[in-house]
Amino acid sequence: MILQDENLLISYKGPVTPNIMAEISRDIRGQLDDFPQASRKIFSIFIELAQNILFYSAEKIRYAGRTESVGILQLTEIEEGYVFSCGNIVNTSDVGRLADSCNTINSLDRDELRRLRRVQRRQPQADESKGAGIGLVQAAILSNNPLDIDVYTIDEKHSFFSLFVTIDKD
Amino acid sequence: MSNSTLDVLEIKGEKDTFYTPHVYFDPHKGYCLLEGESYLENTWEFYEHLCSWLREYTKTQKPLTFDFKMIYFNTSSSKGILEIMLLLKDYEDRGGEVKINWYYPEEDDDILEEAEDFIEDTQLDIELIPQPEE
Repeated sequence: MILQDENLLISYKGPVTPNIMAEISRDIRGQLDDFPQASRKIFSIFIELAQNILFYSAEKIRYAGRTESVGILQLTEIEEGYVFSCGNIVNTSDVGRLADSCNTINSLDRDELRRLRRVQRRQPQADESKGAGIGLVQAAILSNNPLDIDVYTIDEKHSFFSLFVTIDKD
Repeated sequence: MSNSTLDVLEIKGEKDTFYTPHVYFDPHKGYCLLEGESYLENTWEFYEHLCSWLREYTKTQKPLTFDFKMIYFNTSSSKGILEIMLLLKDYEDRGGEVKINWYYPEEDDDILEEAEDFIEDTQLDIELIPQPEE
């Protein structure tokens, strides 16, 4: 998928901290007033997927005395909607599971996705690092479009995993 | 006073780095309100605090009205909201009188669907009330 630079609204690469997330989400809420429904959806999707970077990013840096996860967050305007994308380095061993989750989600219709979300909601919060599954389902439900993924193999151990979510303007 | 040990629980809503919903639980009126936006740093602790208040209240066997007026909650918070509802359902099954209202922005189908799914999950009788947006 190629995104056109002229409509790039937000682009960030760096440590994904709560403060950075707050700043970007304020921007999303403030700038997309013309399409309130889309703005709401993008905000919700952004919160879920930025948290996925916290869970899954294999790239860490020391920032302000803390170890933080690094990722890329972008919002691009296209004619009929917006594309929110996020990318981060993951362990190559996690790629299969992430891709499977996205493919499963894309094979389900809306009612099935809502059922899957309900099942995942009832799962006990056993392991913080596995909290991501429901975020992907939520993104798919809110966007009403298939999830698009892109994997670039860096080396045996690491890959760059990108996720693109399209949100219609109306 | 049968429940003199239970105080009003009020938590001011905040929108800063995280979003805290406004909480107003009144044991004297038998009225609970959860309102606003929920995206928290310690989601589990926050909702567990609300649930433990409710567990105490339900010991009184008094009626309870619960108003949800949420306009945003992340998926972690939705687990907390489900916990509250399951607790209310349990109270009802044990003979408690519970009335639940779910107010939602009338243009927001996503949050209406979330409420429908909570109903499906809990089998509670929840009144869905659309609110005109500002």
